Amino acid sequence: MDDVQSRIREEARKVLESGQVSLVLGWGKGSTPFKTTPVFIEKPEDVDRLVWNPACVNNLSVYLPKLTKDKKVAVVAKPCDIRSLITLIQERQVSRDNVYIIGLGCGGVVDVFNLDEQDFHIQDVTGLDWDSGKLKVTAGSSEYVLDCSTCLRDMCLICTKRSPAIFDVELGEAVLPEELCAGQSVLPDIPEERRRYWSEQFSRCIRCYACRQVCPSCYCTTCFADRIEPKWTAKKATADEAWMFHATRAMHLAGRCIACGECERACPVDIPIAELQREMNKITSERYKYDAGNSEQDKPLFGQFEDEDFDPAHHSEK
Amino acid sequence: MMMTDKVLSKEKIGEFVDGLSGRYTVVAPVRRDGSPAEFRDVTAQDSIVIDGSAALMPPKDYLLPRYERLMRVDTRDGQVQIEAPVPEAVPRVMLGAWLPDVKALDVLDKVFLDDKFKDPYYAARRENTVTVAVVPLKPRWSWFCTSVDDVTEWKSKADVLSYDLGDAIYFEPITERGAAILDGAALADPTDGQVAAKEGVWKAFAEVPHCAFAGKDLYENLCWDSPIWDDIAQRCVSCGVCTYVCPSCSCFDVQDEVCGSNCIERYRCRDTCQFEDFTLMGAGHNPREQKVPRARQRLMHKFKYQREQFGITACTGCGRCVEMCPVNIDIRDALCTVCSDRIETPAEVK
Repeated sequence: MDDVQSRIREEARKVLESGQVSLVLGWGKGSTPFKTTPVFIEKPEDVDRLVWNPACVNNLSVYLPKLTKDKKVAVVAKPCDIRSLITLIQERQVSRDNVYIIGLGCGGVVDVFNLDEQDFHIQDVTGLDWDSGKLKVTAGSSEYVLDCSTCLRDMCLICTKRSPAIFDVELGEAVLPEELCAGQSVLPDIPEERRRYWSEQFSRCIRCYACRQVCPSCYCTTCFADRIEPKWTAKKATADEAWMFHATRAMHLAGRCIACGECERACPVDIPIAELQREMNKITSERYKYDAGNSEQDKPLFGQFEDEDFDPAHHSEK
Repeated sequence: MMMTDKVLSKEKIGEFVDGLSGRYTVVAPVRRDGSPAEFRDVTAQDSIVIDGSAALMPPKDYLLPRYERLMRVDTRDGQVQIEAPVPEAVPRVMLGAWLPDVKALDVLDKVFLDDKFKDPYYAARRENTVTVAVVPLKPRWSWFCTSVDDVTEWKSKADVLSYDLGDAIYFEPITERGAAILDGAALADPTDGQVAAKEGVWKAFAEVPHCAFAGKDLYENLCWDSPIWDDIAQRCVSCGVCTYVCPSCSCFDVQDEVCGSNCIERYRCRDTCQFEDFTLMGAGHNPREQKVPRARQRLMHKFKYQREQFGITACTGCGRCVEMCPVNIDIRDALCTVCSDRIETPAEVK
């Protein structure tokens, strides 16, 4: 980790000093050792603020459409963040020429809530690191080696795409989990039960829109949910209105969600929003052989049409 | 009424709740896997957590609901009928609210029980709610209560103060109506050991190490043109988490909406200074369109404006915004920076 971290800093220094980019976006030291925070580095002497460890959870691509509008930016990015970036490039929100990708191999990142349920006190944690497919936590004067399944984010446990799809420089090593936990759906099979399940989930929604705000693909200037005329969904936090918001958002993200799971991580009431999107991704993958974020050369799902495409109008489901 | 301390073995929490249920609606945090507990109306069968050990959403929903109808206008049959709900006077016992959350009700009271603009709906709920504040066995990592206030004074804010002793809850009545809920066979008198133990729990809470800004005059130090607003704004993604999970944030919006044919309802719901459209005027002007003024507003409102208005600090250090901000904007860091920047200000300038 330290080695990759120093190489990230070297690379950042190089591109800033050469004037290749005017800003480096990466993760910096957080307010606690088990968190990191986005940093925006403009001077070569500040590159030592960049860090790389299992707490680098944020998908920084969310900042890129605005940041790269009038300048070239280097971004330190995990494979999932890069897949988001690919969709942004496909959809012309970011120009490939305006972004320099410092792509990282990944071993998965931590879920702080899981970390809070281990044998040590979370406030004693002083360091996190990957260690041959496991997570090494330094807490107090002891070291704890944890199985990834107990402390990584759910998204990371099912992720097989751990090398950067595109990059200008590639650093670090992709480490696949020893045992891949299959992405098991928690959704009930029977439609009525499913409806009840989601009603219960959405009844907790407080309409803070954190799911939308951290999502790189949610870049609309005015979200449908904020529109007053026409009013698609009311502002009151009731299960029905939340249903309207989340279901519409899920449709808007069809073929565009790369399953980084930021929505789920940001949700303060733990609604399994990514689950909706996983279902959607399954459909686009099965019916249209399309996985979002694979290649910047691909046309977006909704930007292409083939005669043999699945047509719901002619293939009504039972 | 006798103001006697009582102890409740955790095995008897259900029995205690049962005893209260006849006279009160009992609300308490209900545990859910992997996510913050939420306040709900509970019965003895629920997996309630009243020892403060779990992360939990603030209890303000019970005083200031996320959605509350204020009026309904119906024009069916050519008749205009206007209905306004009667303020709800349900006697409630609120168990398991963190002490900083109960202190935060003090902040909400300033806003909603003001002499000039008393909110009847809030007032009715507040008057009918018996608050049982809890001091957990172990302060959460994100708490900074001791840095914002003298927590000893908070003891008087609850009707009952409770302490987690591990296997039991220690209740200390503060008001008479608090003492009134402490009866029933589930409760026992405390042993000397338990009295000593609850003192230990209080000490651990009251001695949480201070942040560097503690004791510094935030009111003096927070300034309009501080560079920290830029730093926060750069990272902030403009969601409403920090304010919606805050026990003392009270901003709301009032909306009129068509509900069915010939009918509209007026309701209020949460709103937040962190949303871009919060200050959007009808004619299109928006004084806080950019993130910088919005970042400034949140901290200034908590530590400056409400002090000017009501003489209080509107943050109780519960740490929810610290834990839940998706980009790790930590209010403690911001306040430390503010103070370290301005601390050298010569005394005569102040």
